[in-house]
Amino acid sequence: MLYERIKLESDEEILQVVRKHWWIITTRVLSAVVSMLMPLILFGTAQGLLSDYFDTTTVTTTYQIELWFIYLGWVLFHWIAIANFWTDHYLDLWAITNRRIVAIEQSGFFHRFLSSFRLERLQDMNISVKGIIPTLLNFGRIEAQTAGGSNEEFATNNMPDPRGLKALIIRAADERQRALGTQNPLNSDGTL
Amino acid sequence: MPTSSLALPFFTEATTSTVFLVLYIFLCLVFVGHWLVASYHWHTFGSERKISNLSITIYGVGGLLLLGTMGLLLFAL
Repeated sequence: MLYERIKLESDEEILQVVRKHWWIITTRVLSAVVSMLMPLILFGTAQGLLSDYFDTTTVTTTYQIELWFIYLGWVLFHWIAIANFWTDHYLDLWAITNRRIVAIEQSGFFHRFLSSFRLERLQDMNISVKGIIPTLLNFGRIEAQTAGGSNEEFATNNMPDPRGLKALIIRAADERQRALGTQNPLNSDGTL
Repeated sequence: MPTSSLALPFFTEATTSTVFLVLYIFLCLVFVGHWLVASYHWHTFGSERKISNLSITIYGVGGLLLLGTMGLLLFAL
């Protein structure tokens, strides 16, 4: 499983595991379901519209089995697409521990980007919530900038409760820096 | 060099049911391959074992139901 692969340190504990907001996976799955049902809707509509011109029931009864077979193939194709959406949602996450943040970006099965940074290296955190639905459902982009030889930036879109997440990370960074005896340039509310 | 013609009944007598059978086998292979890859990823990189196992089961059972129904339709052809 994931935690064996991340290899947590002896006294490292996971504070929170965050995945993208449920709205994202829901809209993707719903669009797949609508597309899945589309042939039935189109076929029903076409049957209603064309019934005046020619007898559509002859076609449907003659090729009933073939049509159902093709339709089930279409459904299977969407079922596979839904599994891909779930993979993106389930394996794309931020694991926030009391020592570091592990950010995993999964796109498809064979593109996996894993990055992590220690909380004492946290330099700056930005959040942005854009749009009506993200504002109403409270999700948005979160960026964490780290200090180092080269300034690195970790960013993920569509994270739930970005303000709460930012507060949690900054609190954890504060505690970490207190333990190490260094000073965090950010206040616990995220301001400088 | 002696030459001989090969009898390829599939290509010369491809009936509708044969075409559907080939399509069905192809879909079975695609699904099983995808299910195996997805299961590996969910099981290896997933954070909760319970959710991973549930995902693998739901995806597998759903796909098998669809392929099973398609197989039954194939018999009726």
